[in-house]
Amino acid sequence: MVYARFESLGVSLPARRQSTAELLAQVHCPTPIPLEEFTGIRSRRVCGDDEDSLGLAVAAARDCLSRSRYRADEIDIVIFTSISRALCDRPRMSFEPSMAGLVKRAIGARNATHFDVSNACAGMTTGVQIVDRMIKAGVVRNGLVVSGERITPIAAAASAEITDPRHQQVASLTVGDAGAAVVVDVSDSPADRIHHIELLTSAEFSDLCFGMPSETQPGMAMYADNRAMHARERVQLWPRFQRDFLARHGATFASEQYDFIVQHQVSALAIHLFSRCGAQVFGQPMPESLSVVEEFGNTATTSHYLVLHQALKEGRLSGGKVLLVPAASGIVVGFVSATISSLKVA
Amino acid sequence: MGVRIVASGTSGVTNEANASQHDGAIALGQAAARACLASAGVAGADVDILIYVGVYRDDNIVEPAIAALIQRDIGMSLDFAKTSVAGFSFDLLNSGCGIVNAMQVASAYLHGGGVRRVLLVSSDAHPSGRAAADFPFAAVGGALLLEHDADAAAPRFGRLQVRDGGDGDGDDDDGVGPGSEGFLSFATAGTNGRDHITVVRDGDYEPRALTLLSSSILEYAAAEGLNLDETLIVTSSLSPGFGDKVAAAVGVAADRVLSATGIDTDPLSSSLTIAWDQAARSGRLSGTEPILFAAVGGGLTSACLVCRR
Repeated sequence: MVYARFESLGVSLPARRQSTAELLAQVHCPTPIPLEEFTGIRSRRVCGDDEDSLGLAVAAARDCLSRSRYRADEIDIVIFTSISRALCDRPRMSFEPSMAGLVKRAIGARNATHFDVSNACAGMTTGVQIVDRMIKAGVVRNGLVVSGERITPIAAAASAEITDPRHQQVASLTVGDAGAAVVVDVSDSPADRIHHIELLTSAEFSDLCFGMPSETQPGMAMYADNRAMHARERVQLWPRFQRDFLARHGATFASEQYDFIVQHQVSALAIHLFSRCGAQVFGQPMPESLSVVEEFGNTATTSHYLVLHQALKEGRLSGGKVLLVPAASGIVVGFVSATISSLKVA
Repeated sequence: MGVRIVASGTSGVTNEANASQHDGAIALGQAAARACLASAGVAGADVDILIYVGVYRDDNIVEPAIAALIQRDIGMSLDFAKTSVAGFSFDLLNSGCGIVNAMQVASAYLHGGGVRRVLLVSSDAHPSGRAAADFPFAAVGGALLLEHDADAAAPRFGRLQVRDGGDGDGDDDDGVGPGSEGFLSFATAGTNGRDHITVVRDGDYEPRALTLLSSSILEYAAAEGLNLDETLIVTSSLSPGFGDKVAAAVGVAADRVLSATGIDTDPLSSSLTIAWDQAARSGRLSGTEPILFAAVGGGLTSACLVCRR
C-alpha cells in the first residue's frame, strides 16, 4: 500500500496586524458586538494594497520549497486552492487563467501540471487529498498544494453592512489573511505518513453560506447562516463520518491514539463546540487542541496549516499523530490523520 | 484496472438558446448533470465524487463550490446524518483545460476501486445569467460520467502533458501574456459585482492557441507512440471550424478531429464534453482506436491526455 506524507510546509503572513478593537471601531452597528469575548480572536493579519492572493501563495510556496528536498522544477503538480482570487495589479478577482499557472511560473515549477481547486475553507485539504490519491494511483511522485487568502475585504464589507450582533455577516469579522503551502510526497515510514484523508460534502446544506460580491460595497462579502451551520446535527457530521469510517477499518478513535487535534480555526468558541461534540460522539476525551485563532483569526483554507506551522515552530509536533478536522461551506467535513516526524519549519 | 466514460449529457446546444440566454451556469450544469445521469440510468445518489470545472459562474460566487449546489440538485449525498452516504465534490478551474485535468483526477480517485463513479460537470455563463454581447463564451453545460472498471481490458488514461504558452519554459520572464483573461474589477463594477465580468481575449489568441495546441499534440503523440492517423482527437472549439484547423495543423484528416459543432461561440469548459457527446450520439466512438483529449485555454495552457481502449 502506497501512502503520502507532508514533506514540507511553508507559510506567509502580511506584516500588518489589526486588533479586534481596531476592526470593531470601523463597524457601524448600533449594538456593541462582543467579538473578542465570543471568538477569542484578539488580532489578525491584513494585506496592504500591494499584497494579494498570488503574492501570499508564491511567498508561502517559496518558504515551503526552501526546506523541501525538491527543487521547483522537480514538482509534478501545483494546485492553488484559496477562496479569494485577488490580484492587486488592476485590482480584481481573477477567474481565468488559473492562479496555479501564475504560481507555477513565479516559482519556476516548469515541469508541473497545474489547476485551481475551489472548495470553500476545505480547499487546501481537498488539494492535499487529490495529491494523496494521485500518489496512490502512481500518477505523480509529489505535489505542491498552495493557497493565498486575501480574504479580509469581506470584513470591510461586513463592517458597513452589519446591523445587529446576530447579522449573517458577523462571521466575516473573524477572518485574517495568510498564505500556506505544503509539498506532499510518498511516505517511506509510518513516522511520516498521511494515514487517512477523507472528505464528505453533505450538499443538503450547500446554501447556508455564500461568498460573493456585496450589493452595497464594491468588494466581496460573505453571508452565513451560522446558527444552522453550527446546529448540533451539522457539527456531528464530522465525528459520525469518522466513527463510521474507522469502524469499517476495524479501528476506533481511542485506538488511533492521536496526540493533537486541529479544528478549523473559526473561533475559540466554535473550536470548543466541535471538540465537545466529537467527545460526545466518540465517547472519548479529545486530544490536546492546537490553535492560532487568537492571534491570526480564521484564515480560511490555510487555517490548519498555519496551526501546524506554529506548533512545529514551537517544537511541539515531532513524532506526534495529528488529527486535522476541516469544516467548510458545502457543507464539507472530514478528517486528516497524519504522523509528523521529519517536518521542520526553521 | 481501468476507467470507462459511460455516459455524457449537455444542457442543449443551440445558438438560439445562447441569444436568449436565461439560465445561469448553475442551472446549465444541473441540466447537463441530469441529462448525463438519465442517459446512464444512474441515480444521483449513486455518484461518489462530483467535480465541477466551469469557470464563469452565477453572481461570481466563490463559496461554496458550485459543485455542491449541483450535487444537491441531483440528490447526491444530501445529509450524511440521514443516509450515511459519503459523497464528495469540489470545483476545479483551469480555463478550457480543466476538463482534461479533471479526467486525470477522476482516474486517480477511481484507481483503488473504493470510488466507483465520478461525475464531471461543466458550464459557463455570464454571472448575471443573461446574454451579454461582450461575453465571448457559449452559455452551455456538459457532463461526463466515469466509472471504475476492474476488467484488465478496460480503457485507461495515459500520462497527462501540460504545456504553457510563451517560450514554454515556464519562467515568468517570457513577456507573453495569458491570451485570455477573465476577472471581476470592482473599480468597474462598483456595487454591481454580481452582474459583472470582464473578459479580455487578445486579438491573436486563437492563432497562438492553435500553435500551442498543435505543437503539444505532436509532441505528445511522439512521446506516447500514438499514430495520429489511427487516433481520435477530441479538442477545443474556440470558433466554428476550429477542429478542422487543428486537423490541418497536425496533418491528419479532418474526420480524425472531434470538436463541438452547431454553436458559434466558445463553449470553454464544456468544449470537449460537447464534442464527446455529439460524437457518441453519431456513433463515432464505437471503434477501439485511442482517444486523445487535447484542450487549450487561457494561460496559455494546453493539456493532452490519451485514453487507450
